[in-house]
Amino acid sequence: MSGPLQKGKLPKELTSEMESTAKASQYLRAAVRALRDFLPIEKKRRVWKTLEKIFEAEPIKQSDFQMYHRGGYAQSPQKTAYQKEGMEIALERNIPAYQQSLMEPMGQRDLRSVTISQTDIRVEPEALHYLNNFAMQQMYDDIKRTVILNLDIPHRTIQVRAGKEVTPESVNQYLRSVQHTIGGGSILLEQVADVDPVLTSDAYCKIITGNDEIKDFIDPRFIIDIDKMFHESKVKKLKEAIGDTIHLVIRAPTIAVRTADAGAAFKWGAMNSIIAFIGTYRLARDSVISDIAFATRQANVVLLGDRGWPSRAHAFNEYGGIPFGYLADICQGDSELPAKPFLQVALENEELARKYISKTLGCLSIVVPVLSEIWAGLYGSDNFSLTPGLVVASICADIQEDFLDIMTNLASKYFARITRTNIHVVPARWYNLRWVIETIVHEIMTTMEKYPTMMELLWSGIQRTFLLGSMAANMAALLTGSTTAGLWALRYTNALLVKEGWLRSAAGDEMVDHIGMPNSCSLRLEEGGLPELQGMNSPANIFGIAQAYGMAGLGYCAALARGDPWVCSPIVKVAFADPSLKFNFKNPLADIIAGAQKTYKPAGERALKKEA
Amino acid sequence: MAEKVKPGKGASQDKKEWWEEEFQGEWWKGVDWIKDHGAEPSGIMLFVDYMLDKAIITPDAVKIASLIPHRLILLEIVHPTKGAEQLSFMISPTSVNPGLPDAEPDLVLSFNYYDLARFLMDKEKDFTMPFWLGRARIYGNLTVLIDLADILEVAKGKKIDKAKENRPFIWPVGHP
Repeated sequence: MSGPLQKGKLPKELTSEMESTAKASQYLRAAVRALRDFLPIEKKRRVWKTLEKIFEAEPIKQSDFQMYHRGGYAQSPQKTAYQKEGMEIALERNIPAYQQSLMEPMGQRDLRSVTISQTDIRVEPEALHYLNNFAMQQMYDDIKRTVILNLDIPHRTIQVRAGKEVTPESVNQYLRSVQHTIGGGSILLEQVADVDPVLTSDAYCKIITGNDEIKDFIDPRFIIDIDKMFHESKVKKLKEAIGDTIHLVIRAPTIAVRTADAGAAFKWGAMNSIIAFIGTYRLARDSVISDIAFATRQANVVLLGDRGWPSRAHAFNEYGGIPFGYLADICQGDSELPAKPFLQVALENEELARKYISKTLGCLSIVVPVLSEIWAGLYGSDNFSLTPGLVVASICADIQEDFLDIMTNLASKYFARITRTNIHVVPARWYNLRWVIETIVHEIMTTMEKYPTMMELLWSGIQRTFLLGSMAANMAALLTGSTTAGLWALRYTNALLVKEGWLRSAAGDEMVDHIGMPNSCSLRLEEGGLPELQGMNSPANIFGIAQAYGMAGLGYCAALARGDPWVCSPIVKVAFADPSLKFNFKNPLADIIAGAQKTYKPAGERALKKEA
Repeated sequence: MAEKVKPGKGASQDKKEWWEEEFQGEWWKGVDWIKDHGAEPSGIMLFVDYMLDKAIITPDAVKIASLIPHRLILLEIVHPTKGAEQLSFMISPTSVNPGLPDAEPDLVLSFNYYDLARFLMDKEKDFTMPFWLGRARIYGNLTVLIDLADILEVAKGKKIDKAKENRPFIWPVGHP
């Protein structure tokens, strides 16, 4: 007999199951109704306002009646312009070029420009691709072309082996000489060809020292002045850590690293600094030169990145070999803020605490995703154009800003209270952190589910895991001051919570390595080692570009929690506080926006010199 | 020749726990709302006595409880020497029952008996402090802990407006 099921005729086991299901549905509906009561709060959220502007509709709207009627790529002025350019190129070279008609039929998606967080500036995603945005390239170039040499050993060698006197005058003379050689100028042999200084105008060298007497006798043009670049509470700690030694920060010309690779920066810097020694101290035709060469270029060198593996980037200073702790030290947003434990700041003033977060994570969330884009795009899989998604997730539409608001609010309202008992960090125990991480992650996942417009921007699982993992890692490290605790949070979120909420599909599937929590505490080399010293070449991180920001962020946040002025190296921290750098590491967003708007002027351009 | 240190007499052996220093002798005898002064009260009795004598008769505590959605909480009160006791606590409507609840609770709280006593005896104004300090454990919905803290703290004299102001902006009073 067919027909609708009648309750009275069904077996009792089934009816009781139906009743319990109905009760569960009622409970769920009640919860959804209750959430609607809190719509005014949602409307006050930063992300609501921004998404409303971007999509010109209520951000939680569930229906899209325009789907398939949008006109495909023609929605995007940038893609339309590319199509026109592609046609012109094809006609000119007689080989087909960029052609949108080769795409699958498009038009179901709403292609919109996105707003840069905390601004009204709108850009198309193409403007955030590392090959379209010259500021992004310059950022990486500035990292690649930095090499730091210690001058104490060569100075000692010159005194002992060559019998020359090292005086304040000779040190300044050396620094003048090295500015000439580092740009490709010759000193010893007048018949050799020099490099056009216009092409290498971004090449220079500066000194770092923690000793005020040394600082006083060096020409101020050659100094990265710690006193001027950092808050006074940080100055003392940085000077003590650096000590009486002298470091030479070399910026090889951008054109050199663009012509060869980052390894060229080391060779270029080492050779030209040795030549400057030879010129300054008149060491030509002397067997002591080999000792000075070794003392200068080998004995005490700080390279930003170790070698990667041959099939990808094999040179020094490439992204794969840069420790995450150095990436945090490269960021300078927090330089002018006092070195205070974060929870103490949070207790005193929530706005100031938010400023700390904006200046640290705000800076890091640009530097790391951009480098991860380049890593995944060029070193990992070649022109992998998905990756601008990471930058969209971190700096667009106020999405991350909104989550950071929640994180700071929780820390200020609750965790900061512990500072009244003279404790500045929460004890790093798993059971102290698990529920905090779950609370933060569930709130973010709920937000993503509530806002379909947000999911239009965070269309890839990698974007979502990128945000979820990093927020959890940053929060755990910010509370405990422990990078290992941050790593627990990162692994727990990405390996367990994301899959528990959304299964492996959509988000979980795009985490290539689902690294379990026991791995977080391992110091075995193949499992990573200390979190600050891990990099993208650590085996578990190679393809996990969504984890890079969390990995660097947990180091930065742990230092912020402890009130430390640097994460991994005071020398790297000071080296990138240099205002003469081409890229602005203090306010990277300004340069990235200029790059997106095509107003940024990078270094290393071959077409700079106008021939007479 | 240096004197040998006898095993088991090290400094760490003499170190007292924080609750041993704070709760000495028959501390419960001076507390007016504890009904049975014969022995140290159980965790359940401590909580029930406080709820009956203080929270339920405080109009503001009842008022703020009425704004909170239905909650079921399992409190696990762990005495350092006597072991753990379980207490099921329900909000909207309010009920307190010893033992495990018959449905899945929204929140499980596990905390030290003396942390509870400290709070109830006004030595600590903030009910949630042991959780931030890492002395207590939470499993479940954090907003439920904040709700419970609001009721207990308002019963102890905190103003409702202040309680509302102290909440995270994303989870005001009444948020599910």
